[in-house]
Amino acid sequence: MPAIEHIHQAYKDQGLIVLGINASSQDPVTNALAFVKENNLTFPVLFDQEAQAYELYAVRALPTTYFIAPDGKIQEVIVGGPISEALLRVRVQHLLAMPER
Amino acid sequence: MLPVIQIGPLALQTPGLIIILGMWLGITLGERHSSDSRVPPHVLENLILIMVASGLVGARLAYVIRYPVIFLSSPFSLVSPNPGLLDLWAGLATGLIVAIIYIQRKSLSFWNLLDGLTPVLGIISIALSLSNFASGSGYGAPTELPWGIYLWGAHRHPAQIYEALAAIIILVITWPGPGWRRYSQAGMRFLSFCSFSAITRIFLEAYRGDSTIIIDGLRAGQLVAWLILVLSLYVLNKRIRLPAESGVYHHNG
Repeated sequence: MPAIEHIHQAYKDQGLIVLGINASSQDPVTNALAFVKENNLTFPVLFDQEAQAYELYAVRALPTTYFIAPDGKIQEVIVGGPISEALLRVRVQHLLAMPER
Repeated sequence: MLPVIQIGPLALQTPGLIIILGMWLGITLGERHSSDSRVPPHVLENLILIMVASGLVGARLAYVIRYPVIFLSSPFSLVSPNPGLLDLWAGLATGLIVAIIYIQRKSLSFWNLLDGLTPVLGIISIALSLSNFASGSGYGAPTELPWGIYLWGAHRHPAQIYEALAAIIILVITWPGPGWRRYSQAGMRFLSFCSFSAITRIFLEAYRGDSTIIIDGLRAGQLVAWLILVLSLYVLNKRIRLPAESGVYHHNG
């Protein structure tokens, strides 16, 4: 998660949107809030209390990371973690270089 | 689809695990039957290890060359186990080039080695299909057939299972044994493996839901498979016509 925060800080001004989604149906909101505070996360963290995102995005395991292009299409799904910062940077640079719809 | 096996705090990436198990099984069984191809077991083992190690280095270097600033700012990522930072084609090319250099320096018989590698490749093919099934990659086209599986928002052909079954059949056909010994030319088993694999790819690609279509329904995978099939049959035909002595299993090393 610190790597994702670094990426958020590095690319937010170039148009990258980082969203954290807590599977609140499995993990209490209080735990998530404590985690956000402990890791000094500054990107938005959403609470999926009725598991709608979980179902829609066909999540099979946590964490799952989705890389979504400017046109809204999912480019890559990485299941499990941690993901190295270099991998995040490579994928984000690729996404930012893609044309918008 | 089973991308991760969670054992307590440990999340095992099932697709990678299946590939590693497939490689281990392939190398173990390949070595056991390598004498059928007149290849000493240690030669096969060394060759595979060299190919895998150089392939991994090449696959990672391809990313380092493309994104030097990123790796300079995060040098530990050079040895990151994330497969997402490995370039498949660069890895294959590096492994192949290093293998060719190794074969030439050790004066090994190229065709005998390829025959020795055939069961290894066969088992890895099965592992790759099962790995795709676990990760949800290489998914099938939508279908209403009763054996369709629900994946990525639709009932789909279990394309990965079709491919695994085809790979099992090809492995059985090309498995080292007395049937193959009647062929005097080395390379027959490997070239047959390539031909059968290409034929199944041409048919099974039609059931894939993630193919790149080039023109009029012709898929990129099918085009590559046709090229491999034509080349394999051409070389197979040439080797069959060779005098029995010249291509017979031999080891110069």
